[in-house]
Amino acid sequence: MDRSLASYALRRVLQIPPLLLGISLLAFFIFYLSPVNPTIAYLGLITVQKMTPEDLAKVEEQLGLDKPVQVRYLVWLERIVQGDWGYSHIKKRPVLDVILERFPATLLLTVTGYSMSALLGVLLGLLSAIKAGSRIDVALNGLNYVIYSTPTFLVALLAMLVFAVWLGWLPSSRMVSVNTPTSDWPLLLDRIHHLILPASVLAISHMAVFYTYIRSSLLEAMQEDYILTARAKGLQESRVILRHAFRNSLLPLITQIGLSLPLLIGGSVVVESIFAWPGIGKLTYDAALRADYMLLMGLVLFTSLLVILGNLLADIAYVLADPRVKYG
Amino acid sequence: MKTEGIKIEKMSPAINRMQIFKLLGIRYASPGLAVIIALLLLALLAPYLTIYDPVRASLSEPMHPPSIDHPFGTDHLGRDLFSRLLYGTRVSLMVGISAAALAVGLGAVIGLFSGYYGGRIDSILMRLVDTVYCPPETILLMVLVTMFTRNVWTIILAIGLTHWMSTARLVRSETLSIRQRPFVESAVALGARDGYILLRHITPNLLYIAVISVTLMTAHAILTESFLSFLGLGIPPHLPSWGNMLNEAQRDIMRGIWWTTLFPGMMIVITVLSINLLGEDLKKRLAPNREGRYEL
Repeated sequence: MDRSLASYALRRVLQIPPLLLGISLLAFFIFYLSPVNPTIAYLGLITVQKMTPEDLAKVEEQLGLDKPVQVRYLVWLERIVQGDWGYSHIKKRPVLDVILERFPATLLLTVTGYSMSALLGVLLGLLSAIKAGSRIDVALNGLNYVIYSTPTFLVALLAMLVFAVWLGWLPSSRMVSVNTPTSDWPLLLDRIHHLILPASVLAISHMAVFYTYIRSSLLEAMQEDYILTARAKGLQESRVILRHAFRNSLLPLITQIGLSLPLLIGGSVVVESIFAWPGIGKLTYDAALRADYMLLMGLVLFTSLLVILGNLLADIAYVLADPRVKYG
Repeated sequence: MKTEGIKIEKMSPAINRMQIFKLLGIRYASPGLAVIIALLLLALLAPYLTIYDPVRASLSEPMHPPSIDHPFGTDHLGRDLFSRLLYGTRVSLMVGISAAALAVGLGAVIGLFSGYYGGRIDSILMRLVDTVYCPPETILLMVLVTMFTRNVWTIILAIGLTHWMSTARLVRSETLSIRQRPFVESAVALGARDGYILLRHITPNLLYIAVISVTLMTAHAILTESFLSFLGLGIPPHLPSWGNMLNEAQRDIMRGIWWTTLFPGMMIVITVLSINLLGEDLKKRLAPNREGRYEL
């Protein structure tokens, strides 16, 4: 790693602390301004109802509810930084533990779905750009528009209806069967069997971004002078497209992947809720339905951190992949 | 005070009120617009197009498949799906358009201030944009609607407050470039005040962005509303909205009942698709040379 890259990475990392501060303020003030009673949020409605007024007053004092708002923010921030993200009532465990436990399932689903989506979108975009103006191109473009205008949950419901209910090929919910196989291989197959439907739904509903992107950037690249040069050299058309135009248009896709990370997490909320996939998307849904405020705050913080980290990695990967980029 | 020398229309794709009327009027018809007008008519004339009450249950005829009496079938409480869809059009369009107008309006004001005044105001406002961009919008929305009371107005407010950032960035960069132009410079030289310049010289040149953004944002807001209602976190369940209907249809799916899912789903797709098409049309007509993208 050369020095300029290291200094770029460092400067990029230094942009993060103000963002973290901003997010903590945002999260705190949503909570502070909402009509939610903080004691209920910390202890749960049932616990609070059972308590005597004296105990309640004691708890309120402990939580610092009598203090001015800036003090409450700092106390809260200190606890967050120390890893104490509060207690989840619906899971009866600390918030951070619950989130970290659920995260791998989401990672599995989104990485699979996103890879499928990128593969599908890039291939179809490539096909569309090569055959620009043809019937295939027009049909793919139209299909892309329809998918772009279809909510993910509708894709999920229809996929469930066709493949799980009517055809009965794939399971409609959960991550493993009720009678979980014990040996390794059947267990893996069982996992894959449960993964196919939710991952495909995620893939199809996110394909539009990749498709549109590759198609337009490839069409743009085809106008460049180096394509003319390559053709003038007498290269085969397939080689001109794949080696010269396509490779260049792939680069900005790295940034695109980083930028669509929030969308992807959003998509996983829908897909996980519908297919009862035990990840952080389903967790958010459960927390919202049962008003587990501490868990919701934790999820906002956690997913924001993921997005910041994702964008950082995408920016650095872009600089690594494209030597022409000036650092900074 | 005449400034004859500068033809604004030639320099930037500015539009005036007449042109908007022309655009939305008969001269340039767009297929998307035709569908939207049809949907608006359906929403307005809903009481005259159906004999069934959208909220009255008729427990003697639950889960009827589509028939002549009930062209789109009935749901688990025997309510007529066709009339629920018609009334749902009202809710979805109302929420979508209001939320989009709120989001774009807020974004435009923030972008204008940021781009025009620059300096510290700009950097504070842009850090705010970066911050609100971080949490995934679905999660932020779910938190907002859970923590605050839930009704049609708070849903509109929540969608508006989570979708203004893209417009703010777009308007900011456009304002930055417009305020460098000679006509703004001459207005400053003539002693015009900030408010006057913003209102008379800058805002008219940004109207086309607002028109395109509101259109595209409406499509997005309708999707967002249907998503929230589908999860049971949106429009209160007693109001018929497409998302609410799909929420109830979820349990029918496992019994192989398709009409409760398919028809509301189709309405969402048709509406969002035609609004998106209209948005693309407007983009081509109002900003033919602009390379900039309208990301939401």
